[in-house]
Amino acid sequence: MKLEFTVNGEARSIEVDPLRRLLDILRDDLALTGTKEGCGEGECGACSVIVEGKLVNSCLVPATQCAGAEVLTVDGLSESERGEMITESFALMHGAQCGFCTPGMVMAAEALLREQNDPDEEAVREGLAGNICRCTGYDMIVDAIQDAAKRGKGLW
Amino acid sequence: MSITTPIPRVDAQEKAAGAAAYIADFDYATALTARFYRSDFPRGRITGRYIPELPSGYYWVDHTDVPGKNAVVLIKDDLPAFAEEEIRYRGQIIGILCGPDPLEVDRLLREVAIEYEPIEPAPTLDDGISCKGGAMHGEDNVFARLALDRGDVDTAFAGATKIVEGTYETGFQEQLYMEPQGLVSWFEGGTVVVHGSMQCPYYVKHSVEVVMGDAARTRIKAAVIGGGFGGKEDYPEIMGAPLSVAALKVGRAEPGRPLRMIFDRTEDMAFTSKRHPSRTKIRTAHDEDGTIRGIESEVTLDGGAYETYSLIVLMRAIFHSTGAYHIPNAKIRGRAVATTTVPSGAFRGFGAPQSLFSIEMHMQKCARTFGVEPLAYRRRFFQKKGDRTVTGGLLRDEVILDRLLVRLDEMSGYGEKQKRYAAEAAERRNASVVDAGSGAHRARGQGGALWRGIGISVFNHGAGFTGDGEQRIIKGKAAVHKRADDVVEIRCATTDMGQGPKTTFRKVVGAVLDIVPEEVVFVEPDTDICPDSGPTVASRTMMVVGFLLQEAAKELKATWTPGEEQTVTRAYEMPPGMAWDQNALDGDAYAAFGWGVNACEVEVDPVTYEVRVVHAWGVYDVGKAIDERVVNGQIQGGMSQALGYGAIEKLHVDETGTFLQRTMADYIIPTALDFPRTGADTIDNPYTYGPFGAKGMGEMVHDGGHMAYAAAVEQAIGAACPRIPLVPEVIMEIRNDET
Ligand code: FES
Ligand code: FES
Repeated sequence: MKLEFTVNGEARSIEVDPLRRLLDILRDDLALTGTKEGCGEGECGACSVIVEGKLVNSCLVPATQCAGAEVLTVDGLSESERGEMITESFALMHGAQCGFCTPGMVMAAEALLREQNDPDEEAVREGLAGNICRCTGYDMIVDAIQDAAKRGKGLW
Repeated sequence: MSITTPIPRVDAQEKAAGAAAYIADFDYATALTARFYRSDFPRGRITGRYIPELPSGYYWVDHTDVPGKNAVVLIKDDLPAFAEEEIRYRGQIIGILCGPDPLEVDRLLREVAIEYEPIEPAPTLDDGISCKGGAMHGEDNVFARLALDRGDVDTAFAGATKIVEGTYETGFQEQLYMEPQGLVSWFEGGTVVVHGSMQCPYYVKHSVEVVMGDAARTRIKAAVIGGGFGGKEDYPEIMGAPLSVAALKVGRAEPGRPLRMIFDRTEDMAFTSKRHPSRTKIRTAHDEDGTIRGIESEVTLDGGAYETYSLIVLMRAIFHSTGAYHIPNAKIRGRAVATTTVPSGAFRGFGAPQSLFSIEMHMQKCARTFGVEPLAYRRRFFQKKGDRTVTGGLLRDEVILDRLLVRLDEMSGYGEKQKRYAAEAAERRNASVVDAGSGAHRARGQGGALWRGIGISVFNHGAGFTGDGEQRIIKGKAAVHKRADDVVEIRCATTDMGQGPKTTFRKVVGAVLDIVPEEVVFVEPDTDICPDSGPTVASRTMMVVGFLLQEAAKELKATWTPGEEQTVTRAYEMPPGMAWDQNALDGDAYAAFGWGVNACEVEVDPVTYEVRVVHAWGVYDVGKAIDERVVNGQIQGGMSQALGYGAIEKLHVDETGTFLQRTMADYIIPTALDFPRTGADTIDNPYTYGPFGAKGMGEMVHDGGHMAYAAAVEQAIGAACPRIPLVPEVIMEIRNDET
C-alpha cells in the first residue's frame, strides 16, 4: 500500500506492506533509529511513540493503522524544547543507565506531562507502567520526570 | 568539590534522545541476515544432515567450515562453536544460514533437516546427579568439585550441644537486559571484525582467535550496550565464534560483506545463558547459647549442558558460603552438575547471590532455633579486621558493618518494626490456637488483616578476580592518551553497559588532571586501539581498571608536555602482602570486600498469599563512591533485580530441559509499580588500592535483596522460607506443609 502520514511534523509518503510494523517503518524505511525494539510483542515499551496524541507500542501497530496519522518519535521530540527538557533531566537525575529503555521512557514522560504537568510519584509510576527498565529500578526515572516537570514549568 | 558529588551522566542525554548507536542502529546497508540453525531436539547424536540447495548469495556454515579449533573458549572450551555429533540441549547451535532476504533465510532454515538418535534428557539437578540417560560429562556428570577446609570441623561437631540443619534452593534467573544480543561481523583484507553488544571485547577476541586459527587476524569493537548484567559476558563469545566463521566464509567470496545477527526476544530468552540454579545443604554445630562452633556446607549448582563458566561460578559460590561471618571451623564442598539445559552462565553476583541466600536463611533458622532476634544473632559472628576468611585470607581493612546497620536502622526503623511485627505474629499464633480449640472456622489470618514482616540481610562481596587471577590470568592494562591538541582520551577495554564508567572514569581521570570530566574523551572499546584491560565483570571496573587509569593519569600529569602526543599505560600489580595458592584455594581470595546491609518490609495477603513489598533499603560500604548518584542508581537497580529474583522471577524447565517461560509476558520482571522507592546510601571506608578509595560494587547490589525479602516473608507468614522465588503458590505450599 501507499502510506501517507506525518512523522515528526514532516509529511511522508512510502510504499509498504500493509502489515508492516510501524516500528520497522520508522527504523528501517525512515532511518529513525531512536525508537528501540526490546521485545516485539507489546511487553516492554522500548518502542513507544505517540500516534494521534496517544502513547502506543509501535511494534504492535501495522501500517494500515498509520494512514493519515500524525506520529511523534523520540527523534522528533528530542529536538523540541520539551524534549530537550526531558532528556536533560534524564542526564541530571541519572534516569538512564544502559539507555535502551530510555527513548520509550521519554515518550511515556511526554505523554504523561501532556495530561498532568505536575505529577506526583504515584502518577509517574502509573504513567510508566507499560515501560520496562531492567537497570535503574525506576526511582531515578521518576526523579527525572518530576525534575523535567519542575524545571519545565509552563512548557506543558 | 568531592569526587562523590554527582554530575550529570555524560552519556545519558544522547541515549534519552535516541541518538546513541546500539548495534541494531548501525546502517550496515549491504549486510546479509545471519541466523542460527539450532537443534530442535534436546539430546542425541546427529546421524545425518540435509541442507537444501541454496540460491546464489545464500550460505550454509557449520563445523566443517571452522579453520581453527571448533570450540568456544569460556574458561573451559568444552562447548563446540558448531555441534558436530553430540547434542546436549534443545537450541544447541548446529549451523548458520545467511543471505540477503530475511524471509528467504527463514524459509531455507525450515528446510534444513537433521537426523539423529535421541538420548533421554536430564532436565533437572537430580536427573543430572543420577546421570539420567547416561553421563554426558565424564563418568558422573560433575563438571567441577571444590573443597575448602578450615580448622577442625569434626571436633566442633563432636562437642556441639545442638546441630541446626537446612536445605536452601534458588532458581534460574534471566538477565533480561533490554537490548537483545546482537553482533555484526565481516572479513576483509585478512582481518575478521566483530562489532556489537558485548561486555568483554577481549574475551570475544580470544574466542574468535581460537576458531580462526591462522586464517585471519581479529578485531573486536563494542557498540553502545543496552544492558548486560553478565548476560553479555559469555554469550557474545558463544554467538561471535560461529558468526566469525560464517563471516570468513562469506568474506572469501564477497570481501567485506557484513553478516548481521540480531536476536529477537524469543530467541534471546530461550537460548542465552541464565543464572545457575542452586541447592545448598548447611549444618551448623552450636553451643548451648547458640554460638556457632563449626559449619558444613555443600552447594550444588546446575551448570546446564556444558561447563563453560561453572568452575569459576562455583568458586565464587563457595568463597561466599560463610557470608559476612567468622566461623572458625568450616568444611565446604561444592560441585557443578551437567543437565540438558542451556549452559548456565554469568549473572551479576556470579554464584554469590546463591550461597549468600543459603547462609542468610540459615542464620534466620539458627536465630529462630535459639530464640534470638535475627539481627542480634547475626551480630555475634560478624567478621572484623584481622579475622581470617573461609579461604584463610586476612581481612586487612576495617569492617564497618555496625555503622552500616546504624544508618540502616535510621532509614528503616528496623529495630522497632521487627519487635512490633514479631508481636503481631505472636498474637496471630495465639489467636489461631484459640480458634482451633473452640473449633471455630475462620478465614486464615485475622479476618483478612494483612500480615506484616520486616527482614534483614548482611553480606559481603569480594571484588575483582579470584586470588591472584588479576595478576596471573588477566594482566589488565589501561591507558590515558593525550593527543597533540592536548585532549585526553581514556583507552581501555572496559565497556559501559549502563553501570557508568563513561561518567565515573572521566571523573577519576579529570580529577587527577584538573580537567572537566565532560572534556575527557572515552574511546569506545576497540581491540585495535585499546589495551586489554580484562573483562568488564567481577566488580572490577572501578577498583581495578579505574585504579590503573588514576595511576596513569598521575604519571601523565607529572610528564605533561603541551602540544605533544603522549600515552601512559599502566599494568596491574597485585597489592603488597596479598597471597594466594590456586591449587589449595588458600589465602586471600579477594584483594578487598565490599559490604552491604539490606532491609525489606512486606505485607502478605492471608488469603491469596500475594506479597506487597512496602519498603526496601540498602546501605553499603563501597570504599568511596565516585559518584553518589551512579552508586545509588546501582543500588536501586541491583536491589530491584534481587527483589525480582526473590519474589517474582519464575523460570522453570519442562521434561526436556526447555524453558517454559518464553516471552516477557511469561517471565515477569519488576515494573515501576511492583516495588517501592529503594532507600539507598553508602558510608565511606576508603581502600588504599582503589581510585580515590573506591572498591568494587556492581554485583554486591544484587547480593542481599532476595534474602531480606525472604526474611520479611518468614516473619509475616510465621514459617521458614528456604527457597526462591517466593511466589504466592510457593508460599501456599510452605504454609500447607506447616499445618
Ligand atoms: S518492542 Fe514494542 S513493546 Fe517491546
Ligand atoms: S536504563 Fe537500561 S533498561 Fe532502562
